[in-house]
Amino acid sequence: MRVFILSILTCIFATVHAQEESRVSVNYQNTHLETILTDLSQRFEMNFYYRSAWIDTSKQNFSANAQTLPEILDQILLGKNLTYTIIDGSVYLTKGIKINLNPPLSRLYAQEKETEEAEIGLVFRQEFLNTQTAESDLENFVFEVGDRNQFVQGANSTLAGYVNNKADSTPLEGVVVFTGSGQNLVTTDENGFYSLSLRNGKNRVNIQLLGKKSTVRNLVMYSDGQLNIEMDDQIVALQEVTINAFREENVESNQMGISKIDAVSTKNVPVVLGERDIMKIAVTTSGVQTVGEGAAGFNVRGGKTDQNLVLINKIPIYNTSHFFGFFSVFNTDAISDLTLHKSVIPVNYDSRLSSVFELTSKKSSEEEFSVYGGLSPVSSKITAEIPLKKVKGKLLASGRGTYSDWVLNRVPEVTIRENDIDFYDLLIQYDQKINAHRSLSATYYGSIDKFNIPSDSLFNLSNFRYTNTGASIIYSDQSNQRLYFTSHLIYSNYGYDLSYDQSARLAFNQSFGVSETAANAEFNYFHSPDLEIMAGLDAKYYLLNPGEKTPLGEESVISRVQLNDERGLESALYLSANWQPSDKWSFYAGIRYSAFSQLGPVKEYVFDTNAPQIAGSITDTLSYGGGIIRNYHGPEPRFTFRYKLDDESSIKGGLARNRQYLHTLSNSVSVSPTDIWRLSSRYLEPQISDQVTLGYYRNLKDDIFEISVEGYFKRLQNLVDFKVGEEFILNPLVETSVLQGPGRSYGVELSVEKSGKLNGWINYTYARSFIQLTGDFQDEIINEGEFFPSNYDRPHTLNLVANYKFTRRISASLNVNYSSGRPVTFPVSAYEINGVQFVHYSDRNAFRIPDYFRVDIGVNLEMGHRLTKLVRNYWSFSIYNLLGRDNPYSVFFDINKGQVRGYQLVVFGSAIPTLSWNFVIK
Amino acid sequence: MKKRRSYIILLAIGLLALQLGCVKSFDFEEQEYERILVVSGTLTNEQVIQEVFIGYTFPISELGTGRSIQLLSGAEVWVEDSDNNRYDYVEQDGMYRSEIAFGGIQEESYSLHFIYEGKEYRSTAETLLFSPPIQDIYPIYSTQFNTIDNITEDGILIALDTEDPTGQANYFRFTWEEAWQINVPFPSLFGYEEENDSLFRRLDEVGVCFGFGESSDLIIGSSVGNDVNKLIELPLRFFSETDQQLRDRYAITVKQYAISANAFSYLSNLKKVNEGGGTFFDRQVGTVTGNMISVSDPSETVLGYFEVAGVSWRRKFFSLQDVDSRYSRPPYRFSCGDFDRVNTIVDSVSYFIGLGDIYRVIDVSDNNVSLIKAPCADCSVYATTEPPDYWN
Repeated sequence: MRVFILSILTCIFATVHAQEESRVSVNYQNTHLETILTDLSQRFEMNFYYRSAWIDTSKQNFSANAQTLPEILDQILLGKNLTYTIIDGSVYLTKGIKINLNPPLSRLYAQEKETEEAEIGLVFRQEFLNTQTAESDLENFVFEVGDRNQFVQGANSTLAGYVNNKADSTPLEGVVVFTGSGQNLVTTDENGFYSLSLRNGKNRVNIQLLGKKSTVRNLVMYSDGQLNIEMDDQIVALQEVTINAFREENVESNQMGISKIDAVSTKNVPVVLGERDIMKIAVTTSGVQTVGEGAAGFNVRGGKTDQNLVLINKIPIYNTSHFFGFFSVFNTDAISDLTLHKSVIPVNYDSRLSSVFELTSKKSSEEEFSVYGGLSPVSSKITAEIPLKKVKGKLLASGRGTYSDWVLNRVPEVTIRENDIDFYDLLIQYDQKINAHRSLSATYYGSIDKFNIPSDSLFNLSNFRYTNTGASIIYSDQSNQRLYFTSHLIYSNYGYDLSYDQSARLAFNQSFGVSETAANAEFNYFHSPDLEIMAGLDAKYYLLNPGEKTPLGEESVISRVQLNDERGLESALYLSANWQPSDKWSFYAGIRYSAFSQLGPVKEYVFDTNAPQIAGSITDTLSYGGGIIRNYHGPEPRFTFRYKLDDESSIKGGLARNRQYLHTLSNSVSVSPTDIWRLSSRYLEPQISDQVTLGYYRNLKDDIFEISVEGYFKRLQNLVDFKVGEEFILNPLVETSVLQGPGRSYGVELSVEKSGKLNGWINYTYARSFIQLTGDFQDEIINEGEFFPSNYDRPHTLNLVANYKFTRRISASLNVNYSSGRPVTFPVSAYEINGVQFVHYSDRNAFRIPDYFRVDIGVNLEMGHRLTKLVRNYWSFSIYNLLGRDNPYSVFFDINKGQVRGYQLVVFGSAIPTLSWNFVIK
Repeated sequence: MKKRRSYIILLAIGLLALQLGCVKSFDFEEQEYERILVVSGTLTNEQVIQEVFIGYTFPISELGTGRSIQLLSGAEVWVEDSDNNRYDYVEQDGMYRSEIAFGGIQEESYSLHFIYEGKEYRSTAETLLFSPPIQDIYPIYSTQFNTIDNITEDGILIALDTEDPTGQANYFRFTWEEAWQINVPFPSLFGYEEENDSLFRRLDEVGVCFGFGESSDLIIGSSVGNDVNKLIELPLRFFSETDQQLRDRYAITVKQYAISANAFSYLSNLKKVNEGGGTFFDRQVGTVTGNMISVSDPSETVLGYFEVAGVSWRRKFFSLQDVDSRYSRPPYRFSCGDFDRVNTIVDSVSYFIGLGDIYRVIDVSDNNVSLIKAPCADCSVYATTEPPDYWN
């Protein structure tokens, strides 16, 4: 874990040149300590680093005559529990912790890790100076506790101290402080105080609290002494820095296929048109693919796009893209982090087959009001953190909008000017502390995309609008130290409407909508540090409008079409245990029993089984009233294990079954905004996946490198596809168009992550994915009923994301993406029907479009590090697709003047430079 | 101020890139050609020699070369009605033609059969529907997106309304033929006789010609989906402001086939998988099969459709005055300005005419002769002066 020390230190700038040996005379009367320090800083021309909160506001009198800095500091800090350390012309004030430049007993740790040993002082110093390059941290630092002279070999001493919330220094109650094996465990009281008896010598103390990042401290006990600990860094300080608590998890955790991305780390990655986008970064992790640049949706481990669950503060978001697929609907400024589960998904998440993208928004600071935002060629955005101290509340509001109208009107090209494309998104989060253990968090999220296209070739429509709206309330109760309770209530709605008004007689409105209302209750029981048990209950009600078309205006003769609403109730019970019987072994075992009830009223058609399932073969129509029509249910077992080979490497494996009751209907190659969702029904059976996965994990060079190799095999059932050319929009007999078939996918993911001055990741994925569509009739059979590559089967993918920090202000980054071209269906012969020429296509996906390759670079410049400065600026310049390569998104054919011509759609066929500006106001 | 401007430009570049993407040509290697049986033909209610094509798909490279048609030669072909009356077809000029002229009867159903090398094929039975008269054909001022140049164009859309008051025919296929009058801007009044180097007053009119065209796309429409059970504003033909057809007088003759719901569904699927993509949401393409079945081997793919349809037609004339006044008269397709014109004297005419078939004499007054590039004065160089027989 890297802790960002600068973040908690105030910095007073002065000119350099160490002057600690020089002597000065001072005389302070009734002066604040802070003022004294400022004055000393100037007199000695040295930088002072300390945390404002440590400096009391009492005034003091002090005078000195020709004394050195250490002499003065010794006196003024007397009795203040503050220690100073002078390193290279800078003064570091610490509270309760002594900075040890040369810990004599660090060899004790040498066997365990190749830690700093002689260099520890240097490393520690680096941390103070430049956290970005610090390759060590508090967790690896060895603290000395007590008086060395009182050291008694083999005796016990008492370690005591306070655990505070790092963000606001408030005491944390209920924090579990324990030594390695857990036999020695205490919890903090309401003041955050703990006391623990430890054997003298080397000790490793674990500190855990639900909702906070767990941490450890290595210490050497000499005698009774104090160690204060801070948990969870959420501070916006001089510089935001990645807080990577996850590096050890690569090896330690028994979870597999998990990627955590911190929003801050996305700041330096070059992106197209300056829209920083955490989702786009997630797509560069191994195992995640898209069908192409600008495509909405992603395919995780050979899964379909509807098999991903995207949550923001627990609210499911159905359409995660703005502007079709170019940007995600999340303003990364308001996001704290993203966790991606792509392997064995924990049982507490909803039923989706492939993955969970869980986004957590930032929480406002409790102390300081701040505003930050930015401008890019596409949008402007602003986020405000508003602490409401009086009511112990925190409010975060973040909005983003395009100003495309304004820009479009300045574009000389008429066609573009006529378009009107807008998107907006808004996130409001309110956190209320009820007491020390209970809290409530409420989130509203909304996004809108609007398109007004004068004449549109895509959909034959003039206006198109899609919206996501959602809200969540999360309650958490940690008043029982062993049994935590959380509960949430959620509402989410997604819908689109489109209209056509080019012709008054044919004008219409058309809409689709899906909403869900869900409740969850969950208990986490901490039996011991080695055993954690989770149990919960989910209930969710779906209401879906599969499609409605209404005439627009009085002249319109369009008939009203209203497909029957679909209703469903999805519920689940889950139970899981996280058990670590020994240092080597760790297990996660869980089961989710999910059930889906299709609710009436419903009209069902019965088809002649001896004829193709088409309108003409309906033999009976069944009408049901309200109530439960049909149930689908089944267990979803999940299991993973971890076996540690040594401290730096482990083997993990897992098994999982997932069930999914909600399906996207799409007859296009990638996610289209007009895709609709449908609930499981008589002719749309739940999708099921079974996955086996195995991996090897290794951290190198003190966790600077994290390496993992994971392999998986998945078997899928009931993947949804379509008969060629069929429509699903406003199709009252969609069952005559839908095909369902099994799929299989397998692959190997190789990933290396590096932290430090040069940081980033490189990963290579070999992944295959196949689907089979077969039946008794010709229109149900694709590719002779054999397995064929899915649209997103891209065997080789290589991603490189690298960032190099030159100084605190300047960094440069590089992205490299390579992937095999996706499968495509080519024409193989031609024919004429009624004098019109048509092409006959090959087997589906028998060919591939050219490979994709792209290089981006970016330079970031951060200005105004001074805390005293009101506005801090952050500029980034990037060039997307530096090589200007034509990467085809799709290939298509048409017959024109008796010739079949091939075309390719290239999204960004040239290098795109972008300059964007971001700011922070405090 | 300067800074601000550069920022705007940057924004614009960004949005341009975003907006357009771009469609470029894609050279694909022609894949191994797949030879598959194709059936195409319509049995109508007209008393004529009925035709059906039974043959194979051909290599893509042969599209438009004329070599493309590969008839399945030597098959036994017949059409059967529901009373098992059999109409035999014989091979002739690359088609199978009915031995006798006959027309389908309304509400009777027909199926196509053929046997080739012992394998039997047939279509499902299709019922002949009456084709109601086309209600109206009319021009609308409209904006269309030109997918080839990625631009929107204003122009005139020729659209059609049709209605079956009995409600039986709801699905239609259309074909059209068009003819238009061409008036050159400077009709040549004089001809030149090379033999005796003399000018003569023309007796033939070369300043008025006719252009012809016919539909090459599949046009289908349905009256399902609106309250009046009427097919409304079906787009037939679009003219941009550079198209020549509407400069003077124009006639379109539309033939309407009343087809079955199944035939419509087949054609619309075929159309969808053949329509150019180039969007982010390209439709999944693949094999579209129609109503033909191989009785001997049901797994054999047979493309095409044996269509049975009632036919009706309507012709409509338009002049430039009949269309929306926002549509301005398209410029003549050839440049006929001062640079294309020569003014000379009678004695030099032989020189200009001698350059080849480049100039025509417009007018002669005294010794001055006006010449202009041939297409500006004589449309017979690129069109026929013979009007269609229905022209009046």
